Amino acid sequence: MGNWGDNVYKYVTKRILLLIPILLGVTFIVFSIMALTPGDPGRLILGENANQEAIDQLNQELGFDKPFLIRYLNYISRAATGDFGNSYRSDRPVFDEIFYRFPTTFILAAGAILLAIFIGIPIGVLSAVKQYSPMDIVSTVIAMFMASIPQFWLGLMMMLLFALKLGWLPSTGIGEFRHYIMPTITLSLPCAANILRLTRSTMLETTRQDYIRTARAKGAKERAIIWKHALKNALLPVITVIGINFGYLLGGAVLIESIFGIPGVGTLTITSIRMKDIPQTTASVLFLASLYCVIMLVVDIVYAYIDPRIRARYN
Amino acid sequence: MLKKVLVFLLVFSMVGMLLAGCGGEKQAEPAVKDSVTMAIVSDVATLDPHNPTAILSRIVFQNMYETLLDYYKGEFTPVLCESYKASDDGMKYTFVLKKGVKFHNGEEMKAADVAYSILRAKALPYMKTNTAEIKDAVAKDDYTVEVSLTQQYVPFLLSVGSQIFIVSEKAAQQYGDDLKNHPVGTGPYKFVKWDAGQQVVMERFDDWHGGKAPIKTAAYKVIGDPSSSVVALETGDVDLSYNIPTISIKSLKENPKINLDEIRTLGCGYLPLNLEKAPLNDVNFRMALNYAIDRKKVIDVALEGVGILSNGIWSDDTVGYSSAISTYEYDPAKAKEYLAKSKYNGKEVSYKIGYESAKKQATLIQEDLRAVGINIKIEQMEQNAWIQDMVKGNYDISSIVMTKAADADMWMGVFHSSAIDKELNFSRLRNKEVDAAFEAGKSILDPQSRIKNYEIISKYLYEEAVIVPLYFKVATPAYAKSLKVAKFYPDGYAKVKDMSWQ
Repeated sequence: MGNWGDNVYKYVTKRILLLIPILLGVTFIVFSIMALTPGDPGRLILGENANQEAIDQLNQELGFDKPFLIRYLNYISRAATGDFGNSYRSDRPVFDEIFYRFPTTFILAAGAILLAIFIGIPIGVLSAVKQYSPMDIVSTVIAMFMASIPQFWLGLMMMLLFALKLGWLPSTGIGEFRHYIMPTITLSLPCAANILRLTRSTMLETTRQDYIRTARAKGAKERAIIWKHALKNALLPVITVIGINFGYLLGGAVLIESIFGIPGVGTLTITSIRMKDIPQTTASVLFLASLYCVIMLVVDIVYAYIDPRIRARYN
Repeated sequence: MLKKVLVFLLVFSMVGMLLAGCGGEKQAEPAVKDSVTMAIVSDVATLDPHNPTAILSRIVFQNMYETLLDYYKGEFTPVLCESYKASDDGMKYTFVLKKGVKFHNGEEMKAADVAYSILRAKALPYMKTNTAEIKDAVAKDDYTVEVSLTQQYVPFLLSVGSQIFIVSEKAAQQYGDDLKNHPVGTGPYKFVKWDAGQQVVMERFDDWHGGKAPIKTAAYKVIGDPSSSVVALETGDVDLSYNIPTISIKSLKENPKINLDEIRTLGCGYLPLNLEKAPLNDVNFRMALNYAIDRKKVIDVALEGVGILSNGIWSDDTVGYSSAISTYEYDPAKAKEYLAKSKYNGKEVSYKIGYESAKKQATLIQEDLRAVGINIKIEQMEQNAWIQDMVKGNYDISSIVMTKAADADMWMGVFHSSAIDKELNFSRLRNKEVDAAFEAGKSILDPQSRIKNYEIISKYLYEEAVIVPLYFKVATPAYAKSLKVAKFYPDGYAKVKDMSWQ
């Protein structure tokens, strides 16, 4: 395995270096899209009741009056030194804004994904093992329901029930553990549903494989067959889905943030897009893109760890 | 079997534990609450009072900063000054300041701070409309400030006296650009903290020159979704919400624990018409539009009855308003008459909207116009794209709610010919009489003559059917019944010092 360790190290380094061209591409796309859409930050920040002089002055202060390529090159050259600029709106360094809100989003995302995993995988496995049993049918129907309903509806319904009718939980805001309960559950249920259904279908496929039949013939315990041998193989696609969902949640679920009054990364990104706050938008998108790349890298490594066949390819 | 049961129990007990273990204990309410929590729709952008980039910022910092005068329902009340005087030629205003007014940092407010604040506001782009006529502000002695103007400017007391907030010169120099994160004012509340994206918290300033405000702590919480703010209000998580959606108005009014006030604002909802495009360049067509629309129905249906029928762009809250001018009543027959006179050929007229909320009223108007034979195509656009089109005159009809401070002079940027392509003259109105009236109105000292002057504008807008006036926006703040709010300003917001618990 020592050889494998070195190879993984090389592989990881290569993947991280690949981040740089990817992120450069991302910044260019973001800049281009912002340049193509109408509106300028001056007018958006000052509002429609402002006069043109004030708007022009603000645009000039923000450097927005220069042509696209010059703005882009200025941005890249400053970014290379680590200066990603200040938000047009709040005049605070863009990554400060992101990191201020990221812990909240991270707690929600991590909680949601963990909950989704602990609900989705066990129930998915059991549904597959006891296919067509009442439990299977009920959980499949509930999963379909959870995967289809709009999240904001679910969030509002929970709020009406638990905050208004029952008074058990606070309706909005953050601060204490109980503030996070409803948003986390709202975020995790659709995710859990997806994981459940995927686990179920991959398990169904895996348990029909020859090697499972062999294991049974050899007399291995059913529990070990299901939870050790079959699940390990079935999990591969599920891990990818978990990674993708986690990345999505880390980007900030804007609707849930809006409903529950949570100051997260998602609202920051949307507001900065709407306000044509180019430094902030670029930074937020860069951040999200990097997160995704890292998560996918972790997923790949986990794959290699779980599946010896993939591990072999690295040697 | 056992395993299955165990797994289920585990999962559901996890969820149950989360709910039960932490929910339950609501703190015992103290006998009289000493804090108030208010919901606002988005985060404040800045707490710098000379950079009021959004109304919401001002709502918050107007508790921490004060102006020389307070303007409410046509009356000026001195706040930071004891008296004021205009020179005979109207070119100089002298303010005698109140003595012993403390800033939150313990320093006393002096004339130097006032002069500094006025000049600081003048240097920043955001307050250009208010400060354009100011030449200089000088501290004559510790308690006297003299502001000199470049020309006679009658709305001075409104646009400068009641809109420029006084900051501590020392604090402004100490914090520089960072003043927006460290407000230091003379107001009844001082700044405690600003959790970005979440809330701004303030605490009563015990050395306030106006006494002691009734409530000790105040927090403005950001709740982006209007429905959530209603739930938060009903559960008591917030005590007041400024962000009530139209559909909740009825149920909140019927809720015995909640008060919902209807405040007429200075926001005028109307349809700007592009005077440079056919068929709108024909006054007959514009008259037809005015007669064809059932404005009362628009308010009742699109706004759920929450809106006040308007006869023009100004209500009696605005100086310059004259009750002598009215507008066209709903009369489809007359509309058809004028339509016939206008030689309208039935081609589609574009009706562009930039806000989701304008959609309902657009559909109703489309029906009304179709009934007299005018074809409208509704185009819903993204807000930024819409603003660009409006400024460039790339539209036929649109819908807008325009809010300006309570003086007709503030509307110069909406109807003066110099504002075409640059400011808010979306109508692209170019009329010498209107231009002259705006320019003259700045310096007419006698109030009656001034009103007569602005009547010229109202009359022109009416006779030429330049726009279709619809309604005055009504703000609907809702709050707990036991919270007493002495007054709401015509922007729909209240100052925390005017609130108290019963």
